[in-house]
Parts: sequence; structure tokens; C-alpha cells
Amino acid sequence: MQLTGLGMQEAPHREVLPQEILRDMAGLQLQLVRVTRDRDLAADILQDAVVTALQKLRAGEISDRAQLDGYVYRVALNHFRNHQRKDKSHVSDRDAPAALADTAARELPESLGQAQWARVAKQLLNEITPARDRELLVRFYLNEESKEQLCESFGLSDLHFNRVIFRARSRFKELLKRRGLGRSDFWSIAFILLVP
Amino acid sequence: MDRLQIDAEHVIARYLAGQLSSTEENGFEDYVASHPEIFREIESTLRMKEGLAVLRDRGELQALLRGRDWRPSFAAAAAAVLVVLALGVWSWRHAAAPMAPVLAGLPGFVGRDSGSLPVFASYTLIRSRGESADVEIRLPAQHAAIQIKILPSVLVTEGRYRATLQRIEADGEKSVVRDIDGLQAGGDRFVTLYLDSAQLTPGSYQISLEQADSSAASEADRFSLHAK
Repeated sequence: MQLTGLGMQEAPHREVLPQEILRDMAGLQLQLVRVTRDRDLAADILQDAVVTALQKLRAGEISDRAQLDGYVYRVALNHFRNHQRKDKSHVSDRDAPAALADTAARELPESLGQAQWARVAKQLLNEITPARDRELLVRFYLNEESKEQLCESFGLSDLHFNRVIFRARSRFKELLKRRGLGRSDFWSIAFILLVP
Repeated sequence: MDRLQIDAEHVIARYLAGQLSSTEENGFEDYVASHPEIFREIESTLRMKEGLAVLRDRGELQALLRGRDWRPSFAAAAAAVLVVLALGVWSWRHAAAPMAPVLAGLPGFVGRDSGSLPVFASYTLIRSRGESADVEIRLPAQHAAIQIKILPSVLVTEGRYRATLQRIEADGEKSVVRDIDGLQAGGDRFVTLYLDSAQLTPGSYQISLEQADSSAASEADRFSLHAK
């Protein structure tokens, strides 16, 4: 699992460490672990993405750091979505994804980053009223039910749905920023990479 | 596809959930390729999904979904402000008349700190030589306390006083309204007590103050009051 042998000393840019690249994609990493239900596989996917991106950097196909990060993120995101599609094609009932996720979660220790995001999500849910809006948020983001389904189920207008989701999203970002979680992301990544 | 559309139509969440049409998906991926900064938004959404998933894994989610819905609304906050203002005004209006410690429920004559009523008026009683006239006590329209400050003829720094309020009927008959022991002179040498206006009716009264523990038949300080 070590990223070695890339000949980075020959690169025209200062050496970029894989941890640096991965630092800002802890959420993607953990969701990848969740969807693959395999930490090693998730790590392999990210490692491949990083290796490929660094090779492109060396070859001059990628010119700056933002592009490098973007490339890695895009590749990893594609893998995430491919696995997600595969995952969904194997389940037929609505509760199954949650059950599978539960199984995966039981197998994995909770990282520092996860605990912090859970704390922020909890604060967010505590702030949202009424209960219907909390359920709307959870069913949209977690259960991945469509907007149309949810509006019909709750008897909501588009406007109301948009307002609830927009506010929740903005508030979550604000809470994340306020708690300065970016600084600790490195440790959550390190945890994932280092824990066997 | 532009940023406005991405935000307004929750494109990121729908993309991550595989809910975009192929046209929307291509449009979003084109945008992503040329705007790498959008990854921060995607990452934020993924963190929210992960945070919610962790709460579900821990078994905390259902309780949070059912949680209480009380939150101070604007109306409640406005009502609270009004109550505070009303209390402020009430306190201010009564500030001129300091709150008197009044033992609630005692019939007419009190001398200890308990409960409170606004002080309607204060009277100072000092014994003097010669014939003394009745002290006119004006009764308040509202329930209030009347402060009576008596300067004892004999100052007892360590001892206690007993005060007695008697109502004097038209035929001269006296009936004790209330008496109380254990009163002390304050730093100003006055013994202070309060009358509860609810227990007084217009008419004549006599208030007397004497040493509580005096074995000798010391003369009490007596004052005639006329309540109207």
C-alpha cells in the first residue's frame, strides 16, 4: 500500500505527498469504503488514482496542484459511482442498502473524521424543525430517495423542498467550517491508511 | 450547466445518488472538469452523507428524527421580550415605593421579612411631651404595605421589643388586631414594622411598643392612629 517508485525527485514541481492529495477527500474516501464494503479495495482505488495523477504531473499532462487534486478526485469519484451502481443493481428493496451499510459499518472502526462529521450532522438535525424536515433531509441524502418521491410522499412543493435542502446544506458547511474540521482530516486519512 | 443550476437543483447530491439523466450527468462532468473547485462542494456533501451514515450505524438516527420540535420562534421571542418589558415597567413604577417585606396572610400587623408588597406610605412615630394627636393613616386603594417606624423611648440594643396593634371601637372598646414579639431596633435606633393594608379598615387604632423581656412594668410607647 506504499506509494513508492514514482521517481518524484525528477518531477519539475516540488514533491507532492499522497497524504496531501488525499487530505481534502476524506469524505469521498470513507464513502468509498462504505460503498465497496472493503477498506483495502477503497485504498487501492485511491492509490491507483493518486499514482496515475502523479504520473500525469510528471509527464506534464497536469500543470498545477488544483488540476492534480481535481484529477484524483474525479477518478475516485467515478470509481465510487461505479461501485454504487453495482451495489444498487444487486438490491431490490429499499431497506437493503441500510442493512448492507450497517454490516459494513460494524466491520470498520469509526475514524476521527467520521466522529466529527457525525457530531456536526447531529447538531444539524437538532437544529432542524419540524421533524418532517429532518426526515426529508435524511431520506434525500442518506437513503438517496429522489426529490419527486419525497415531495409526493410529504406533500411538499418544489419550493419547500429546495428551501429545506438548501438551508441544511449551507448550515452543514457553516458548522464544518466553524469546527475547523479540515485541520484534522489528515488524521482521519492517516487512520484509514494505517489501520490494517 | 452552471453553478447556479448545480446549487438550485441539488445536482451534486443527485449526481452522487445516480439520479441525474445522462444529459445532466454529462453537463455536470463537463463542469467538474473545468471547475475543480466544485470538489469542495462534493466533498462537503459526502461528509454530510457520511456523518448521517455514522449516526445511523450507531443507532442514534431514529431518536434524532423523532426529537423534540420545540424551538424559540420569533413569536415566542417577541412575547418573552414583552413580558420582560412589562416586568421592567412594573418594577420601575414601583421603584419609588420600595418593596416592603410583609408576612403574607398575617392579619394586619407584621414585622418580619417574608413575602413582599409595595410600600404605600411610611410613618415615623416619636413620643413627645404633652398631648399627642392621632396620626392619620391613609389607606391605599390597592393592596399595599404601610411602613411604621417607631423610635422607642428606651433603646435596648441587645433585647427585643413587642408591638401590639389594637383597634378601638366607637364605644372605646379595644380589640387586639395583632401583636408580635422579637422586634429589634435598627442601626437608626428605630423599630420598623409594616401594616398590611388588606387587614385595616377605616377607624381608630392604637399601636404600642414595649420591651418584650422586661420583667419590670416599663411604660410602653403608645400612639393613636386614625385610618381613613
